[in-house]
Amino acid sequence: MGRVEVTPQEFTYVEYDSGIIASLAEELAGRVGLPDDVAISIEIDEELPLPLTGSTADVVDGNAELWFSGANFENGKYRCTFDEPVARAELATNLFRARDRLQPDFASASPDEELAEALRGTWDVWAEGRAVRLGELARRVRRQYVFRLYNGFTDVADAAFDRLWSGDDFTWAELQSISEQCAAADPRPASKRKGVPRKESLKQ
Amino acid sequence: MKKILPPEELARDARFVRVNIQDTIADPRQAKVSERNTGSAKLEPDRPAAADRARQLMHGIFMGEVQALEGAGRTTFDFTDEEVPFQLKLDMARQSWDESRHCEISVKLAEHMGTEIGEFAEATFLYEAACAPDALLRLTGVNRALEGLAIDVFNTMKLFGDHSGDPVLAACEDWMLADEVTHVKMGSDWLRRLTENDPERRELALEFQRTVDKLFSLGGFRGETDDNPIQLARRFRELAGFSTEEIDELSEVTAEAQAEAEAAAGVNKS
Amino acid sequence: MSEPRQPRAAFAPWDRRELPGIFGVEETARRVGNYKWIEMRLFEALGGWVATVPELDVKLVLGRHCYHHAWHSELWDKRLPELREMKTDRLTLPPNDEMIAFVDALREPEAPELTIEKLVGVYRVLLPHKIAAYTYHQNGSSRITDAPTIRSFGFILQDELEDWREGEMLLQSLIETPDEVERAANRQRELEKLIVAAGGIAGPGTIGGETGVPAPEGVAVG
Ligand SMILES: [Fe+2]
Ligand SMILES: [Fe+2]
Repeated sequence: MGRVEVTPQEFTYVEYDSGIIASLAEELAGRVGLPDDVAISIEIDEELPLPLTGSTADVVDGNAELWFSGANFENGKYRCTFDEPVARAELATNLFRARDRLQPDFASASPDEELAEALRGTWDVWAEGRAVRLGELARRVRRQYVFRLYNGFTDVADAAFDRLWSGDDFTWAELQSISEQCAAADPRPASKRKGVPRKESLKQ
Repeated sequence: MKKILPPEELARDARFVRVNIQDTIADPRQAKVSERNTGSAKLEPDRPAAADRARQLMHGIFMGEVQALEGAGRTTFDFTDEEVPFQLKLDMARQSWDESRHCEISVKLAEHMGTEIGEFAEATFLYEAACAPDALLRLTGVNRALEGLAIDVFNTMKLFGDHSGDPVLAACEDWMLADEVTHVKMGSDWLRRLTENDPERRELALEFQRTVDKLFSLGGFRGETDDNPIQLARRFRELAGFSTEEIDELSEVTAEAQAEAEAAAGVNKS
Repeated sequence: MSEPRQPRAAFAPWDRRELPGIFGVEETARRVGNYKWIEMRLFEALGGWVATVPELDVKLVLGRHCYHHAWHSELWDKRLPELREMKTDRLTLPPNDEMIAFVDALREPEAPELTIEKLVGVYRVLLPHKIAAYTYHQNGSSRITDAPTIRSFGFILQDELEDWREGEMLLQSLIETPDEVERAANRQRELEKLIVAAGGIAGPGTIGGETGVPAPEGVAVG
């Protein structure tokens, strides 16, 4: 038994293999630098198809708890099938964020479901950028689109994106500050900005 | 080259993978999602998975534009000078150019959103409307039903661009929307002209349109309630020659399509 | 300041337009009818092929060029009644059966692996012949009597030349191996023979020569 536990063990609607997912997570956790004594639980909601993606990475009692929509691992060309490069990138990105949460200066970061979209977007860029430097699949423009959606279609946001994507070290306070700078430069009315957590969630 | 090219023969490069739309609608996960209370299904930036939903829809739009281009192109070729008026052929050639530009716009927009060509599977149900061997039915199916769906989709996408403050998306969708209104108007005008003295044939064409409209409502993908990601664009449809009664009727058709899909999937809405 | 009532020549010194052209009204109408016919068969073929070519860039270009030729056919259709043919269909004809054979051969390829054959027919055979025919007619017409036809030639030739270049560039990007060079050359040879047999898009004399050019008509004004 490794330190990774995947739920469900058997998938009904999709052709995913919990053993493969567990071994990928095990390998990536080591490369991401998640300490060996941190247990990892991964819950996958297989009822959610593409494009209903979503994920959370929280730390509870010192252990990493990851939740993914089944869509995050799904191959867009072949319905219900597992896309390994995409799944690896998703796992690595979220494992990075779990590792971040173990750092003392991230102690004040709210759980993912309570995070504002803009801040979550900021953190995701940094995490995915690091995963790409590990050699995982790069979907830079896709990530930038998500970032712009929540942090503004502005030069300030684009410059922030570049810094986050290529940077290795940020503190929680720095991520917050970057998101605030983007908000200050965003000409959209406050109602269109995503400074508050959204009301609905795919996570049940 | 033969007349009437079946959907299986649409030529694609190695990036594209074909899927049957009925398989997607019948995917048991769709029914599971319908049963959940996740709020409005409208495409809005503050809805869950908004970015990926918009990206996938953009890819669907691209595929739809390719098929609309192919359909319009085939209509210039499939009918002889005796079967259709010269002006109708000219309209279809004009539409080919418009759809070709729409493909170009969609590729650029997909790039802007980080979507790769062929990232998602392609369903060819839109092109199928362009395979009717009767020119009147084809015009009605393509220019009234398919192009009408395009109006609804582009309006939804334009609003998404507006609401998310994306300067590129909203502007481009508005240009495409202008063209699609023209295409639907072509359909409305030709339907009237070709059946001026033949009310029976006109009714036959409208019946065909209703069938196609129901199919294109994709079991609740399009409609006028909070459950429908794509909303009927009443104002633009009016500009394109739809009467209020016709739009009301279409609204009923979309509701029927949704009810049938839910019944087939055994959805239990509480 | 010049004196407004001072008589001036009707033609400015730099205006070298002359009478007459080499074709009369009837011959012009016949040719315009041939032009409309070939533009129609061409835009139909391009429209039909869109769905049969897998190359995305080619697909989109064919969709665009389809409209260009449709618009040309519309310009010719509008010109015909001005040339005394009120029932434009009556002159919307191929010049001869050989031209029909050429068009049938041109439009025959369908399979997705035949993009080179499709494009060679249009961009290495038909368009060069159209450009030649239109240029000959344009240059041989009086810019006074037949100015409306010449104006259409101006618009059409601009499209034809640009489309020719675009199609040729697509072909050059598709032809990569000696085998593909052979395919393109064979196809061109096969179709060129057919269009030569037809005498060009307006039949024998399409670009002058012994067979078709009528003697100048009208009054010579020196
Ligand atoms: Fe379109
Ligand atoms: Fe259209």
